[in-house]
Amino acid sequence: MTSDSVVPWELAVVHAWRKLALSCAAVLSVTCALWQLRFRSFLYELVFRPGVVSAESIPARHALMPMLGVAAAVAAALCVRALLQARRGTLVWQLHREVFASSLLVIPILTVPAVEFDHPLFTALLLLVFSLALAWAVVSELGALKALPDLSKRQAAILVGAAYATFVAVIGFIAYWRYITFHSEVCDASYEVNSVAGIVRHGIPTLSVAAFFYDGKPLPGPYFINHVPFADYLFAPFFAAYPFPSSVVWAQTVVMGAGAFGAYLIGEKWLVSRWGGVLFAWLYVLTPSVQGFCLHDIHANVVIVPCMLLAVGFMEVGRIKTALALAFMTAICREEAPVYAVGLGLYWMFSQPDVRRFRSGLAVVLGAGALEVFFSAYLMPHYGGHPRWDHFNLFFDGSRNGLSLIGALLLNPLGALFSSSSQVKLEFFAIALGSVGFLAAWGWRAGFFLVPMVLLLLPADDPTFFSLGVNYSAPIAPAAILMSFAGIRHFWFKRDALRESSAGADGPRRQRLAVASYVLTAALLSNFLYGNIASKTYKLEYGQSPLRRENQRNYLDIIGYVDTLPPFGPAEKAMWDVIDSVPKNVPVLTSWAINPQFAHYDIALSYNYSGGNPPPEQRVQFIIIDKLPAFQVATEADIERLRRDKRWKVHFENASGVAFERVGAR
Amino acid sequence: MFFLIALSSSGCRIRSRAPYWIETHGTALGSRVVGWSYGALLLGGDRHLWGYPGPWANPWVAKEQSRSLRAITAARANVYGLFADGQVARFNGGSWSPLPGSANWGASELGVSEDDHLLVISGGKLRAFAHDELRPLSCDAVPNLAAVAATHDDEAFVLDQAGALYYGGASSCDPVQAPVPLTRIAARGARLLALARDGSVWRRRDNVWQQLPPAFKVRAGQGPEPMTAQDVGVSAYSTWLVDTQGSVFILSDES
Repeated sequence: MTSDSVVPWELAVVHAWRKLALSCAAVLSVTCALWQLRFRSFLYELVFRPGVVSAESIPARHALMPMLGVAAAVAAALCVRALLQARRGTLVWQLHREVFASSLLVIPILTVPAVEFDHPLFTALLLLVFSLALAWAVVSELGALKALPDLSKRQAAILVGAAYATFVAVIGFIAYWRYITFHSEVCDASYEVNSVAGIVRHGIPTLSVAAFFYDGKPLPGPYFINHVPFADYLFAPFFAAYPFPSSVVWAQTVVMGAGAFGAYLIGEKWLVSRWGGVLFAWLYVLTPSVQGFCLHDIHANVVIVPCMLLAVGFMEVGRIKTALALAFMTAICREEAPVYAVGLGLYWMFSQPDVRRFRSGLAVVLGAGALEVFFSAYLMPHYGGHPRWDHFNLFFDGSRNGLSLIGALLLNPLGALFSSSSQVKLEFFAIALGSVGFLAAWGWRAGFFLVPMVLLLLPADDPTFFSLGVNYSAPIAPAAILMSFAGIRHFWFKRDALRESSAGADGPRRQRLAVASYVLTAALLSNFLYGNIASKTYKLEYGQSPLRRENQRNYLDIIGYVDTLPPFGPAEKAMWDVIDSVPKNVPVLTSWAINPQFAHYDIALSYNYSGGNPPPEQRVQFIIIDKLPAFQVATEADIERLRRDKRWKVHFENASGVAFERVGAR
Repeated sequence: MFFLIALSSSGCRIRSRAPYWIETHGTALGSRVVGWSYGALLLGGDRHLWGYPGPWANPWVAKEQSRSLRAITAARANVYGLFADGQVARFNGGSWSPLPGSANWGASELGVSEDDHLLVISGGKLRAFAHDELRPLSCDAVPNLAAVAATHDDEAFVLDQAGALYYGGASSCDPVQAPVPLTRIAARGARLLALARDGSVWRRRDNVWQQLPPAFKVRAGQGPEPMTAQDVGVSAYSTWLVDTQGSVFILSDES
């Protein structure tokens, strides 16, 4: 290099200042990240109570100083090198490494317990920043590599099968574990197992645990008084093959996971690539709400999600009859399911100028409307029930019905918008949409799937409806997933022409690599924080206290989550010995904690819940009461009373429970 | 790879089978806890009586709020309280029935057996309440009794001021070997739970002492932190603990 080619130092500084600033920021961020990882115990205070400097944190704060000295030396060396390069005119202007290194600052705080549920909006921002930085780094570092050929059908099948197997194995295992360790709840593990067993035994869903519905009537009674859970017919073959509640627990995971195949079909078609299909399948599997639905006991309405994805997928690949069959299955999952199907039908009608799709969509909309009327105006009233308008609090006038609810949304849209902006709702939206990097905001092509959310979620105000994984929150899932997919498609193709002109043929490929990196990073981080597959915590229990058996951490007193799964210890094993001692399918009354384990019996009532007339103790031959620690319900008084009651004798007893048998019952 | 990581991570992260303390739901702050047939009773920081577990969405419920309490004892459905003014009273579900003359007993601690025998430490001595008066028992040779945990009839475990443990009744009062000096005890039948001066918690079954793990509390942003106990309680199927911050815990496994 000659002296003529040396850039004056003033100009070198002008050229290099971004590089210098970002290099310093990167070194400072990495140093702080390492320091924070070392002193994680006071990190929550550091970030979320920045005005508080506790005495205990002073040594940790002082420990940063020598690290900063080293960081300053490293930053100075990097700056000198950059300046020398600038002087020689050889400075590389790529800044992605510095930006990525700077973004590492967000990682330590995400590993701190409870951050993600205590500060969901802040967490979403961190997730967004890191995903963007990583995607930029990936594209910049790997963008020059040769493009991978598309997958063969077999390769795609293996990758999608792995996604499905991961979901079923891990989520199914956790769901099964919470069942055998007595963390399932009456609401609604008992309800739905009751229902599935009723389908196998009587042909229709039946219910006994909610005996208060059937005063003076024989048990079990038709479930239609409370819900229309036709989705439970999907679980019935599993129960027929293995007639125990655990088969229903596994069946729900098997069915929920099947949405991955629908996601694959959608991705293959929308992104015109089997890689795209595989990407969508994995995104579905990593969706925290879908995982959570399998752990919030058992519910018919969550089955809508895989049914819808499969319906959309088959329609996309031209399998119209199959798609219509799946749309019908979507519409009959539960009494509110037709609302979801309306969204699906509208999407088919208006998403493409295609006569067959339009007609199919129209048929689904009309059919769903008819089904909704049939369920809510005939079937449920016929059995003495009615739709549960008490779930909602947004009505235009004093009447609680569908018209009043729709009237509130249409005639008072600002009121509906305002009610949607409460903190709990914003946090829920951030958690639900963050799992695919908020790309749903660009997915308005699939905005028709907002119909169930608008009609079934926004009018509610109870935080239970806005808690991830709770079945009531299901109406957001189709929109969150399908609008995110549409958002991915938007960025996958949008600037193809522009990129091809400015970056050559590599433009679209780099763009797609960026999108895939971004959404996968967001999905993996979101799964780590809010999901259950290789995640930070397990979202094990749902429902208000004290009706949860663990109390490590909780969100709004609705979601109970734990660092480790509870053990299957001697107490649980002894409890199962008591359960196994009871003859099969005799009428039973149980304590709350062990009712789901008897819910496959035709008559399985629960103390302090079932009620009804005649009283539960008069309807049964066996009473089974746990002696598990009195964390949810204290059972000692009931046991003592039955010991004194000459109408009952001890059938089996150990340290975990006791089974009483009615004297002379057999 | 992800499949393997996912399976192993979910499969491996299962807590060991050893019992552990679970903090009760809701916000509890108290100093004394006793077990009874309906869960636990807590002498709250407000000096009133609270019960756990309550019904749906109400973990702790106020049991009686009219009198300020110094001590409580319970077994099965029998509950007694020592008022701030020195009276001893029986709890009748919704109100207190003071025992006649109890204001003059100088009571400092109470214990009640499963069969509803009320024992009182009065002037540092163990006494039984029967027929509206206090009757001496056999531990008078032990000076300055500090705590009592009744078992059945008039029999009870008692602690002296030095933390030594005795078992006595109407006819005898024998020292009981304990691994460490104790400050608080709770009993239900043959089950004994003890809090040591160093804050450790011990369980005695079949004459064998076993140290229980410390209670760990979790708070926002913090991993589990070990807590020091200030009182212990026992009911038929549950073991309870109050830490020095007033939080109440239950043991996960009684087997």
